[in-house]
Amino acid sequence: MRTFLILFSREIKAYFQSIVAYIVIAAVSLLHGVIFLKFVKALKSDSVPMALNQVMLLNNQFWLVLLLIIPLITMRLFSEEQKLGTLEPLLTAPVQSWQVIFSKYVAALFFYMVLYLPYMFYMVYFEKTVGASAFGGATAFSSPSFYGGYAMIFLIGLFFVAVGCLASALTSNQIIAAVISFTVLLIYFFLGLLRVQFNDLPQITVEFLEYISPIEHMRDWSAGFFDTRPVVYYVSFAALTLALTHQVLDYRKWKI
Amino acid sequence: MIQVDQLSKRYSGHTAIDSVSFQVGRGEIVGFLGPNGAGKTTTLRILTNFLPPSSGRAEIDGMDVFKDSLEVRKRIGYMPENVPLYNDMRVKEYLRFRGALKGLKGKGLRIGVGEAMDRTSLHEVRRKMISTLSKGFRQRVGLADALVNKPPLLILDEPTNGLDPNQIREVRGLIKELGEDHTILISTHILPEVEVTCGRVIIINQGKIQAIGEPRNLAGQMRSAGTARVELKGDPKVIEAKLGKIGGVRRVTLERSDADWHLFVLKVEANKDVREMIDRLARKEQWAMRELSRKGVSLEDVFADLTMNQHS
Repeated sequence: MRTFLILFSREIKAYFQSIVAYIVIAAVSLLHGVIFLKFVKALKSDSVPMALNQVMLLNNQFWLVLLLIIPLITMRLFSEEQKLGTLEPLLTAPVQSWQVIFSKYVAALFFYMVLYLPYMFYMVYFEKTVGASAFGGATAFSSPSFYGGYAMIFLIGLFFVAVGCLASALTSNQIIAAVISFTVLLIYFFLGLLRVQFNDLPQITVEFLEYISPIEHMRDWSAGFFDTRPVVYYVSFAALTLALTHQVLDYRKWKI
Repeated sequence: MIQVDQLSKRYSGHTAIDSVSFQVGRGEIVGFLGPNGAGKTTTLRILTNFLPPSSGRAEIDGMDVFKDSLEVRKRIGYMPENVPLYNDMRVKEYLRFRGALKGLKGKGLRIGVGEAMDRTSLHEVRRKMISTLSKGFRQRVGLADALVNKPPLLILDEPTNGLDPNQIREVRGLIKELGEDHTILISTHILPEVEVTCGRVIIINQGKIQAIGEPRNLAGQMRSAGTARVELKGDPKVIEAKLGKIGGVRRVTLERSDADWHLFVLKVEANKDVREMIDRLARKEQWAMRELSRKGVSLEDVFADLTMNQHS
């Protein structure tokens, strides 16, 4: 635990002492702000069937931002250490590789959650201003979307950040790491949208795609329907991906 | 302190080290010498638990490097080749991080970091970003990191690589000083370094150990020849022929001529001094002489002899 905390605080410092972190935070809050504004404007003309904060969580632009964030915050984790060679002093100190991996993972996950704080702040502010008023069929702000949405952002982050870790462990080039994780996550995300594109898919395929689709999980949770299956799903895939990362990092210890 | 037994490491297709065995006793400073690519770094990485061996065993302080890896790592201060460091940290911050990682805390951490910085004279740069440090300072930060938790064994991979002559002298001095209370294994391909600092040398080439011993003794055991230099005035052809007839002289070469003066270099059998005979010959032939000197077998000759012959 002590070792974990030492490594974790080093990672957190590495994030927050770098200017890049603040640029990313600024960019992400700006993008969220723009998307949010777009919906607020739409309130004037259209009648909306859902609470505004729920509409936002199910919007493709919101997801695109999420998919872009992950590679940005994870690409550095192992690639940089491999490039600088600092993995060698790190792993020859009395620490275990899983402690190194877990501390980096948790730090990245922490930074990821921080990136969504401005968004949460917009929502709180929005609720204070127009929360109770109704537009069309629903109130403008829904509490389940607020809490459920943030919880689902966290759950999805569990898995996606792990994918970013794995990609970063695979190469010493940060750009390649980012491209790998972005591609994998983009494909995974679009699998969930296939159903919309092709409406003649067999039933079983549709069910499978719905089962793995993050946007479907978000739809449930933001509507206040807290299904526990996604919890198990994301936690176990995160664990699997981290186990793979461990193997990749320790591949030099394989006996070939 | 270190006990290495039949250690081998094979990568797919090539053997990095092949049945390497050696011991290092407590308090020794041992030089690990070999040309680039000889297997030095691989051996050190196995000892520090960064790489597993393909076969064989290695023990440090009586503990198996792989079975008790965490315990073993606590006892080693390792400075990898080229000293990889985090560029985004400050010197003292980095040393505190490393010290804490190696199990120091509270007062022990403060003292450990302070002493490591004292020994490596890092105080003046303690607040500097590592990215702005010169090569010499980076090297010292690496050393301070190795020292921070006062491990009994230091393993230093090419500690003077890329330093200027003054810095090399400084690092050498530091290593000698550290040798008083640490066991040290340093790898290098720079020969004078070993001759100056190390009590014992292990010469490795192409993954195999070629020789182990004290630098002086190794030189003595060598078949390779020593040399004598003599500068004489006279007819070079005659001189060359007559010098060649002196017992123990293997080969005579005319190195350079300066008007009537001719400088000859004689290859002589090991441990043989032919100066007296040259002198006698010169008097007899009435050649004027302005230089006569002898160079014994150096570690450099040993090294060249052991590592070059293999290639031809």
